[in-house]
Amino acid sequence: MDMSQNLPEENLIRGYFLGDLAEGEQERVEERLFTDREFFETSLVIEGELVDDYALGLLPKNEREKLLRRFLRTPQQYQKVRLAKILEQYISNTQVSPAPGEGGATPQASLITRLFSRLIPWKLSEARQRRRSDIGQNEPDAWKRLLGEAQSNRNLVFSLIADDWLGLQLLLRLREDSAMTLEGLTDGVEGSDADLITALTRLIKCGLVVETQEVFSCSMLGAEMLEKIDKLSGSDLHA
Amino acid sequence: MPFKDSLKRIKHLTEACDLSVLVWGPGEGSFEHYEKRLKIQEELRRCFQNADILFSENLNLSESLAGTDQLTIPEQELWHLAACDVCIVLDTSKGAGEEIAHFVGSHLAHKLLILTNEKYRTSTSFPSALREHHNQIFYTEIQYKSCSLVESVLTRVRTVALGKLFGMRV
Repeated sequence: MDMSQNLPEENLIRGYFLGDLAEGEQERVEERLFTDREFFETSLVIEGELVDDYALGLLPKNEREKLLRRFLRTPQQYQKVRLAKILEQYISNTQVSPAPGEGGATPQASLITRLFSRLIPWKLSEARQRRRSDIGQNEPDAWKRLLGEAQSNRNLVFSLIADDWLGLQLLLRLREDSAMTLEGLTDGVEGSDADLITALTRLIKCGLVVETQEVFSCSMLGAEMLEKIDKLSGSDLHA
Repeated sequence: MPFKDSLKRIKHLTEACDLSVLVWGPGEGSFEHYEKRLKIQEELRRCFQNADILFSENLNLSESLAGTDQLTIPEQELWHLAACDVCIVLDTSKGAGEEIAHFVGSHLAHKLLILTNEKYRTSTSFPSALREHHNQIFYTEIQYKSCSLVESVLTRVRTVALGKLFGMRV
C-alpha cells in the first residue's frame, strides 16, 4: 500500500480520529471503515501513528487534547491493542542495548529514562513503514517462538556461567586444543567429576561442543561465543 | 591478561550490567510474601550494583510520559514490562496472577520469570508454554523458606545480564 499517493484520505482519517470532521462526514468515514478494507487498513496505520505521536509527546497541544477527548477516553478504545503493538515493535527494534560510547541511558538512569533512551532514537518513520508492511501478516504464535528463542539463548549463556563458569573454562580448553578426550579436557580444571560431566553435557546440548567417538571439540557456535567473550573482556581468553 | 583476571572481568561486567528488573508480587499487607519480595529486591541490588530493581507500585509513569495517567493499570504495567529486561513475579497472590494475565500471551512474555508454589503446579492459570520455556518455575515450601528461591532468581538475572551483554534476546 503506497500511502504517499493517498494523502487526502490520510487527512480524512486523521480528522476522523481527532474529531475534526463534520457530523455527516464522520458518519461516512465510519461507514467506509466497515465496507472498504483498504480504507480500514489505512485507518489502522493512521491511528497507530497518532498514538505513537501522542505517546512520544510529538502532537501539538490542541491535537493532544482532541485525541484524549475523542479517542483515548472512549470505552471501546483501541488503546490497549495499539499500545501493545507500539511497544512490541519498538522493543523488537531496540532489543540490543547500545554499546558504551554509542549513547543510551547511563547505568544510573531511572527505568523511565531508559525507556525513553530506547524510544527516542527509534525512527518513527521506520516503525511506521514496518507497521504498514506488517498489516495482515500477523503471526499469532510469535510470542511462543520468542519464548523458545529466549530460552535457547538463556540455556546457552547458562551453560557457560553455571558452577562458577565451569562451562566457559572447558570451552576455552577446547580452543587451545581442538580435539580432546574427557580426561585431557577435565585434567586440571577445578570441579568435581559430576560437575565437570554436567557442564560438558550442557555445552554439548547447546551446540557449543561436539563429541565424536569420545573426543570433544569446539563447534562453530562455540568459537563464535568465545569471540564474543573476547570482545567483552577486551582480551583473548586462554585457559 | 591472565585467564583468571579475564574471567573476573567478565563476572564483573555481568554484575555491573545496566539492567532494569521489575519485581511484581504481593503488597505490604501480605506480610511473609511481601518480605520475600523485599528480600529478592535486596539481594538483586546487592549483586547488581548498576541495576534498577523496582516494584511496579514505585514507578510513576506520568512523571515522564505525558498522558499516561489516562491509562489503566494494566496498560501502565505494559509500559513497565516493555522497559525492563526481566520481570520477576512472585505468584503468591491473586493480584500478581491477575497482573501478569494481561501479558502472558504477549511478545514480552519471555521477560517473565513467574515463581509459583508447587501446590499450584496443576493449575492452568498461565499458558503451558511459559512452563515449557522456564518462564514459570515452581518452588517447594522448603525452597521458599530457604535461600534457594532467591538464588534461582539471581541465576536467572545473571543469565539475562550476560545475554544482554552479548546482544541476545533472553
